[in-house]
Amino acid sequence: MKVQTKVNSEAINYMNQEHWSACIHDAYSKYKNIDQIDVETRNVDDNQVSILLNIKVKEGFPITVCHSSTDYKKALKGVIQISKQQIESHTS
Amino acid sequence: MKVIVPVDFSEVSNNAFNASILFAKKTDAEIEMFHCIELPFFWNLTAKNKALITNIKEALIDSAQEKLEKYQGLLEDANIECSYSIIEKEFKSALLEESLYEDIDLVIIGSNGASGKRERFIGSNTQKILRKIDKPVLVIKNPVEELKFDKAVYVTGLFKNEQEAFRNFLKYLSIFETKELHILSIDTLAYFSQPSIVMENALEKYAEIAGDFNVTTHFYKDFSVDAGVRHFCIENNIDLIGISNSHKHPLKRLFQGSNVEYIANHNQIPILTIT
Repeated sequence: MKVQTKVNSEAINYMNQEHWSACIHDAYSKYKNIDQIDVETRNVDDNQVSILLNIKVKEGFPITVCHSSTDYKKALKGVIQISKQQIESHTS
Repeated sequence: MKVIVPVDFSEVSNNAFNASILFAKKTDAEIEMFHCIELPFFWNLTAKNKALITNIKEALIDSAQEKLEKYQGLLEDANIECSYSIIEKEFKSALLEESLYEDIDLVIIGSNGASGKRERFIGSNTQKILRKIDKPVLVIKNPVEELKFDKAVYVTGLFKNEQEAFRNFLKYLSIFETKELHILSIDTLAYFSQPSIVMENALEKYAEIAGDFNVTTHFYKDFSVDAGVRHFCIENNIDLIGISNSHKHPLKRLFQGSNVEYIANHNQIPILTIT
């Protein structure tokens, strides 16, 4: 599984680029049907950040999930939770 | 609280989305938007040009993503925690699977309704969802300016197993700042109906459960439950209909129909179905 990150400077303050890749890799390593995950982070304003995941699955339609929250920790937790639900429900 | 809003960018879906913003502002709820891309199943089987299909899929995702980003921007401006997902699946089964997760508290859905042959043989998407879902659903038909329903009616068949649903409905009424609650049972003058006195006593038990609310009970005569609810709502300027959504056996539904589906299809005011 390949992880591509497009992480902004504020998100790098939360954790560095390698950690972002490793974190996403670990979160999805149990899913054997994933080809690639593109991660993009952005700062909406002082109170809101968002994380976008584009998950490309083998022989299937990609799953796009985005989560906005007040900080990167919450946004990452939210986006991983929702995307896992989507992967388990819709690629089985 | 967490709310799911299915979004297909239609007018009714926008109405539901706006209602979800109002709901989230009142309750600090998190909103999960949900968009399904449904492609004809034979495309992948018959298409000779796979690259073309891939391009179409990508264009659909990009277009949906662009629109959802705008929706998300509105939620972010309102400081509402939110997420969206785009998947390829039939809308009904995707939403039903999604709603199974424990952290989902409410589904807010837009509906055009359906009537006549279409209602009986095809049905609206909302109708199909109501048939199977196990979570509360707020059905929105028209634009809602504020999520405040002064007058609400709870429609009941007065069965004991509906009392829990009624208690759950009461929790939503405080969110909606409801001032008047009407508990309504329709007398269709059917041969096997209970005597009026028994039904009126049962209504009083429901009024006791409602406790501090400003409650009025009604035993209303009409030729069908659906028509009775419609007529009652018009006569009393009702703003919200609540009803317990207990699932019927498919065969029973085929012959008798489902009151919840009929009420959701034929009324223009918001409907909250509770399981």
